[in-house]
Amino acid sequence: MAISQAICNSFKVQLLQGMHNFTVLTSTNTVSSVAAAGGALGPNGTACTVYTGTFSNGGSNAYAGLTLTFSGFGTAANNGTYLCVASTTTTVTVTNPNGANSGGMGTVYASGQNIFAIALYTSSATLGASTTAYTATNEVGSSGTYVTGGIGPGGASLASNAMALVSTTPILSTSTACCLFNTISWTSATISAAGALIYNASLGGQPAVIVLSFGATYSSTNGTFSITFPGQSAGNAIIQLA
Amino acid sequence: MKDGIYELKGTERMEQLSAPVDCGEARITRYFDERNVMVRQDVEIIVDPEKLPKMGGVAGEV
Repeated sequence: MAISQAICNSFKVQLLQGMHNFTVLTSTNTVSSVAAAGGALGPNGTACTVYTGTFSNGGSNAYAGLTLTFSGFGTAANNGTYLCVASTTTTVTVTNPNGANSGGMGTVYASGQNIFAIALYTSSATLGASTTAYTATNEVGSSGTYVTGGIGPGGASLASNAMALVSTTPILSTSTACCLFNTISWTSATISAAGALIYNASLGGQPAVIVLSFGATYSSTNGTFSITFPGQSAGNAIIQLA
Repeated sequence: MKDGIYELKGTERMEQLSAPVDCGEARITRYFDERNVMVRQDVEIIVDPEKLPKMGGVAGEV
């Protein structure tokens, strides 16, 4: 029984398989106008529709590859779920061949975005490079705002769950792609933990990403247990591809 | 705040210590009441990128 720090082997393979999507479509995403479909921007030269508005995290094609769902638009042809092929902070270009410059505006959200979560474990846990998924075995018990049992797809409020990590869309730092997780804290908690597992809560089976080892058991008592992650730059990021 | 003992309003006090962990550093903050009984302990794990496993770095390798 041991916790060994590792980027999980299965995660590396799944990255190349396109299973994990770190793009974040939260923040401001509003549409102010729709251009009639045209051009040959999509796969196999298909026509696309450009939606103009504010897409705070969409710069540098950050949303490209995501499946975006448009709803509530006055013109039916502007609604639907489409692949995003390009994005900026003011436009998203999607494979809607029938978009029209008419009708009221609606809303957009990403159905391909993943939420990552974290779980804490006691020193009895066995975790390491060969860990493939979240497990409740030897997870610390619920205390304060920490809730044992993991979170998974289907939850209506997955992103705001106390066990979910707040992430930022990956960026390029010099020539290194970098991810970022914000600090996560559990308050009023009595927790004794020797390690942690980051996993993808949006996918069935909750596949493992990274194992963190504390090397010993650290305990909070009626207090705050928190984990602070490094910055989003080359040489620092928690997940980076050089 | 550096490691040490800090007096809080009157007889209460707080102490802070840090220790290296496999993935970085642990900062522990303990709060004591006027009878010197610990009433709360906070733990902050600070992940150090120098101690994380690496991906990439070799051409064509992820």
